[in-house]
Amino acid sequence: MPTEFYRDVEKNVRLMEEMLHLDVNNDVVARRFHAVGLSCALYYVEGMSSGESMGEHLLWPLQSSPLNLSGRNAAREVMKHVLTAPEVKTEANPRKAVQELLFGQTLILFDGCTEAVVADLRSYSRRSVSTPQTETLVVGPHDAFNETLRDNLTLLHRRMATPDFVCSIKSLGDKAATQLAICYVDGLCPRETIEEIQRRLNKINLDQVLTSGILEQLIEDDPYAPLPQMAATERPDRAVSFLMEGQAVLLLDGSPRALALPMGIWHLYHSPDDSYMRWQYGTVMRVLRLIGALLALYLPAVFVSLVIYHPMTIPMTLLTSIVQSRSAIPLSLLGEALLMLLIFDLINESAQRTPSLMGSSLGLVSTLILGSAAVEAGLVSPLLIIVVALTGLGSYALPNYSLSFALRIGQILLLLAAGLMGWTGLCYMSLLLLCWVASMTSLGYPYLAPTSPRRTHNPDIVSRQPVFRQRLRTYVSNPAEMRRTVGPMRWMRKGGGK
Amino acid sequence: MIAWLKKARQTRTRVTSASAMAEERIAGLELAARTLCAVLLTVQLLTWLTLFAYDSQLGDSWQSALLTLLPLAALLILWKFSAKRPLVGPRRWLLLLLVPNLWLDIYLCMLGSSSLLENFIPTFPAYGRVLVVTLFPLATVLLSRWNGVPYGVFPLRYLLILMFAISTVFSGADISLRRLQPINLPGLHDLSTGVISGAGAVWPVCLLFLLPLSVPRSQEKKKGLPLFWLIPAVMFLLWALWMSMLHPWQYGDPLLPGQKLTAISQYSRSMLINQLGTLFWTSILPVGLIGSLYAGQEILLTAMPASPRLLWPLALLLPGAVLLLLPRAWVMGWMEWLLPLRWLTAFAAGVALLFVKGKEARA
Repeated sequence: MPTEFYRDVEKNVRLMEEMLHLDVNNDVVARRFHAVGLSCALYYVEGMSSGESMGEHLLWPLQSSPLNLSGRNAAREVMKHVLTAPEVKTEANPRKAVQELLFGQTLILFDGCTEAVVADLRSYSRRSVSTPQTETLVVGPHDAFNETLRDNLTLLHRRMATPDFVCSIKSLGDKAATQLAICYVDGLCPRETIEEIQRRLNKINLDQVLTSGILEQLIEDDPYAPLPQMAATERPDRAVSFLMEGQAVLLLDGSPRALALPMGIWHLYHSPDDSYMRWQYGTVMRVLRLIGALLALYLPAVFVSLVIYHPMTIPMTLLTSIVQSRSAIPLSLLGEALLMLLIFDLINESAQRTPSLMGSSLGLVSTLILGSAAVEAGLVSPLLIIVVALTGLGSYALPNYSLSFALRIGQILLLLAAGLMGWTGLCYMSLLLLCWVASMTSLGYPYLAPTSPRRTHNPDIVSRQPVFRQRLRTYVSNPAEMRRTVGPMRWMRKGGGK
Repeated sequence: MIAWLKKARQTRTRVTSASAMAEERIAGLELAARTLCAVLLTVQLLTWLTLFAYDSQLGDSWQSALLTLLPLAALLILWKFSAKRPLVGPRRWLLLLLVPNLWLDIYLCMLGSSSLLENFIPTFPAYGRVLVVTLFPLATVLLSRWNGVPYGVFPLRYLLILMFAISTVFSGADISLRRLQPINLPGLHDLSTGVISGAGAVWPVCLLFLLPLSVPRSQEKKKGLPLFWLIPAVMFLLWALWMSMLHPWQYGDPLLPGQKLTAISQYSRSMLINQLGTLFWTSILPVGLIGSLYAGQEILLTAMPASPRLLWPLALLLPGAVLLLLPRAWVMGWMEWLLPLRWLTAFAAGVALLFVKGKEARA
């Protein structure tokens, strides 16, 4: 493979035919024509370039140009004096030029010239900017990322009107390349963070990086850890808030979610709603969420442990009711709880995989019919259904899908430990999970920070105080830019007022 | 309140440079590791008092507890001057003197934890109990890599204090001030025997000056002694007071260690408080066990950097085997003699470190 195009356009045409398998590949359009006194070849991928723009900005100016060019500089001369397309460049390396072609750009080769003209006339079918699917809000903006990198970057640019906002685009994948944008605010994001991300990206050795999920596993600190080490979001406003906190955001073409890193566990716990509403409401929502998380994690385990090993703790009337309701059930309480959680997760999973119109009905019908049938058949006790339902509600209260999934796994581990060993098992398993999570890092930053280890932070962890008290960026930002502002952040009342 | 909100320290920062941020990172780790040491100290003090001291001292327990603070102070002052960082050369080898102490600590925690399990589930097989108290900590230390243990225990500090409060001052147990014996009623001999017996439990105070060994000390020089021993000491005295005021339990058959540990809660009038009180021991003993493992791992890797990381967690197998194979009453008899020696080894290590430090200074 030559590192530069040939001077002879015929040789270049053969090279392109070979690289793009044009004898069998009908998707790449190749057109030969004569313009500016030279024999030319035009290439584009069907459906990825706008025909109208091509006619207006390439073909018409070329073919109507009175210039008569020759020699190595033909491509540059055409770019300077003929083409009216807004984004045009030259590329000498055939491999890189083909890569650009496959990303949707248009290529023109000229006889006698060792460079190709690459024009950006991309126009392909894409999903329009729509509402978020997994991060819905009551108040606040309702736009979400889609699968097109360009659109996603535009959504960020609209909110980041600062010259310090940097988008560095690179390709990933040896065989089929995918475009990736590394976004950060210069000055706020530490240089070490960007260098470390670049280093990890450069180490990727895979034929194709299709989704952000794959990318996440390739560059995260510990792929065996139980929790995600990057905050994924489909909301541009959230991505912007990450950027302003000094984090870097990765956007992969074809993935409708951005990955922010480094991050900590509290990023998974916070929701954009918290900051769109009054701080008191945000605090209440976070407390509710914390209760939900604890319920999701511990309720089945504590219930099973209390009933099996520590029944004296339960008030006598409740204990009698539990014993009576369980008297005809053939399964052990642990088996019953595991079965109910399995059924619940099955309903949840099937409802998610069915079309949205049917999904909610399916969930409702399955829950009602299966639940009442299981109670009537004497398979499970009604109280356990309440416990499992509360557990499910708790996990749904969490704003992050990955976190709620991780909690479901933790819930099963804790349930098994409590069901087999009572309080002792519950304590040992809790400690194991806690120390495991505490040992995690995201790009080298401790996962439980700023609470453990303690770091300087805003009053914005579980409680959320007024916005004018949020004076600092997070501990992952550039230390020199840790303060958001100096001096008062709002008007100050003078005197007693009216 | 408003003034407090305005002046709350979270909205201020001293972090204005990369070096300040690195300093804060080390300070955060130090804080977490020292909190872990405080938990280790608490576990050893309370376990000693409950399992070994109370049976013989009953209402005098609080006097022994109070005087046990003297050997604690001695170790605290000695190690303040002897634990010079960085620990290199022959000084790092001296740390190995502390390893037997950690083994004894681990055994005590395993014994208490397995006995609690036996207390809760009498049908649980003996080998199963040993497996639980061996494999869970082993897995925890292996999964939590370098700093997972101190970072994981740090957020639990308030929860542990709350559970301690529930199992003592809020337990509503059958206590009476009249049961407290006046000071020195048992005589100097009995009191000194109690103090010598309890001295071994104060040794984790040395770890306050050691952990974390994997990072350099923060630059921030603080005068005086670290105050991390204060809360354990207060908890110890409170526990001793409550036990001294408690209706004595040894009138019937001898109790299992697990029953002794949860004795105060057992006398509670509320069953819920009773169970919450037992939760204190059910959670603090695993923390103590995992903390001792972490401390041992740090010490071993400092003394012998080339040793594999898995080596020390496997040391669990020794106390586990003792717990499984040897009769408990026989081991407990030996423990009464062995446990006070922990103070001696910690003291010897401190003096040796001081000696080497002086020698290095002269050189």
